[in-house]
Amino acid sequence: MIAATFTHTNHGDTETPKVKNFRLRAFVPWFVIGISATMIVAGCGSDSTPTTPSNTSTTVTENWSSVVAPGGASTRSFTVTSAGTIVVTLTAGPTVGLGVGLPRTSGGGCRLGVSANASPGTAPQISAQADAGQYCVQVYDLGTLTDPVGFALKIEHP
Amino acid sequence: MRRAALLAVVMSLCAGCGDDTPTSPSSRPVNATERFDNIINVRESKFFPFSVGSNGTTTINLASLSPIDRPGVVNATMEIGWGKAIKDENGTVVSCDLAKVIQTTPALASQLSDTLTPASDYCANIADVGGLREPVNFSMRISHP
Repeated sequence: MIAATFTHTNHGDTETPKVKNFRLRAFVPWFVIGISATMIVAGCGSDSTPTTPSNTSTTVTENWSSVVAPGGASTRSFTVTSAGTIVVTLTAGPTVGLGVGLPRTSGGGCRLGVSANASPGTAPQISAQADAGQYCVQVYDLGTLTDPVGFALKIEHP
Repeated sequence: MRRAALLAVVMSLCAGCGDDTPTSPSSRPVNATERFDNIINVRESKFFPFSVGSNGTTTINLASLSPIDRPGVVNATMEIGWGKAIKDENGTVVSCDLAKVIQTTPALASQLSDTLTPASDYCANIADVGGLREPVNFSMRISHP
């Protein structure tokens, strides 16, 4: 026969199942609520290490090849969408004048802001900080050409 | 009664977790860029009137100095600045009362930046301070709200 009473050995008193059930029912809601509240509050905290925003600025590379005539100049325009660095590399052709500036507001051509006497190579001949806007690159004869000559260059910009 | 109190506690905790109502981004005025292209002679100055429509940053850029008769760049030091446009009784701008000037060489990024109070009577100025040996083309960009 199974005993109907439980003996609490630590205290020496007895506890009926009804009393125990009542104490358990009183304890469980507090326990569950405590866990829930802890989880909820923990979810409210902000992350301690904010992520760094990714840089959305991308570099555009434009390749241009054309011909420059004796005493002449060839111009190409391009758009810089955000402030950054314009890099121009004359990759093929004779030694020429190479410049970057603003397109003329009428009649074509280029009003140069920076220039260099450039011989073709792999290292950039012009590297200049620039605001966003419309720009032009110009290749011009330094007075050394006797015939039209082809050239190629690379423009890198934001 | 006790359950109601517990429920109220949990609800108040949950209520604290809600996102704040997002605020609208403040309107950021878009700058207009004006070009001032002309020829400047030795020891000469020229100005260009412009209007500032709202609060914001105005920048001035001396982008180019170039020979008139050949390709290339003139790397002369020039004085650029801004000021208040002076008008005659007909409202015509007749001079530029400079408030700020700097000396600079041409570059593709703005050299002068200031916050100007919205008004219609500003001017950008360029002057030779002894660097020119011949008349040259110049290009300035004025970016303003």
